[in-house]
Amino acid sequence: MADAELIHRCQQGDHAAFEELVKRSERRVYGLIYQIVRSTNDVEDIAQEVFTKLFFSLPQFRLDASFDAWLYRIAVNQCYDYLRRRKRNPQVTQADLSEEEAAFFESDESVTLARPADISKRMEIKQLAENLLSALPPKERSLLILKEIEQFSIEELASIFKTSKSAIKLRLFRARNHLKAVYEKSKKRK
Amino acid sequence: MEHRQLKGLIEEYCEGTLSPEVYPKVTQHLAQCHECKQHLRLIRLTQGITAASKGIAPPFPAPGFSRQVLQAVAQQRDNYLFWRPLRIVALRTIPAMAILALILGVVAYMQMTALLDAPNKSEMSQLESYLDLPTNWGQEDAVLSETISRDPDRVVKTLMGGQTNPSKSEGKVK
Ligand SMILES: [Zn+2]
Repeated sequence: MADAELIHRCQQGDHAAFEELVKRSERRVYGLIYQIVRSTNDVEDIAQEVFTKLFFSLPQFRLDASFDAWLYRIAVNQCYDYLRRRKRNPQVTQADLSEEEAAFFESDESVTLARPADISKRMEIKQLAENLLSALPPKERSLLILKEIEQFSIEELASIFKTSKSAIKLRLFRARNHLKAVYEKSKKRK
Repeated sequence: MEHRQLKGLIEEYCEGTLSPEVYPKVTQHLAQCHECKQHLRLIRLTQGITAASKGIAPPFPAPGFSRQVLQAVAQQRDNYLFWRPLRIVALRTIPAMAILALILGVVAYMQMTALLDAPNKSEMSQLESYLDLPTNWGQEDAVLSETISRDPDRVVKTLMGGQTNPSKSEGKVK
């Protein structure tokens, strides 16, 4: 059955159709939530909230709109809620970068995702990167994660956040500059 | 195309969503524009950091997850249905409330300007006592302007020192 047909049935109150819709998108939603909140334990609770909200909001969904954008919007907002509540006092900016590590981020290697072969080195780099990102406000961090890890295009992001492409580019520009500033600071400290 | 137009396309350039006509123009521009090159570097660096932070052990939904969601929906349904009429009413009344607030704002503004135009008596006497004005200062002004309009020549003469003793009705003019 096509997604649109399935969604239409859900809107009529068909629970079996909704269960199928959940099954089709649960993995993507889990992955997205995990990348944003980075807490394996809480992903299930957040995902359950997301799908419950989806169920009650489906009657307002217009079939000509993008279902994915609708679903991701709910998921991202739920993650923000969670992060706000958690207000984790981060181990932030304890990342002091060595020259080698800085060179890694500045090389094309990091972009092409060719990670250092050594597993422990790889974990170290990952932890450093995570610490740098955790210094950013949740909204900026999430935007970068959606863009660079979940690989949403500018156009898709505009549709998820219900805004223009240029507004998304401006937000990205700010988030990138912020991350760069955090990065420069931790490089200097070393 | 020039810098102004091209600098906004660098994000799309990196994500590879530019049209085949525009792509080489951006490449060419990047080779010669320092500012755009810096922007490209910023994107690459932050791409690298973000990608490197990728969580590598995402949890997977348990087989019964969708069932669990349906149970949660069933639990929240009564609550949702109970509050739904109120929610609908609230949503419908938002525009009416906005219009009402606007009208009240306009009325308040008009009242305020009316008050400013015509200060009431008690406010005026307060002002006068504060400024220590003679109680007949308004009348003196009226007499002066009347004199000026009736006999400007005399006023000129008075001011020039030609006539120092104005006659009866203008007696109050200083
Ligand atoms: Zn340029």
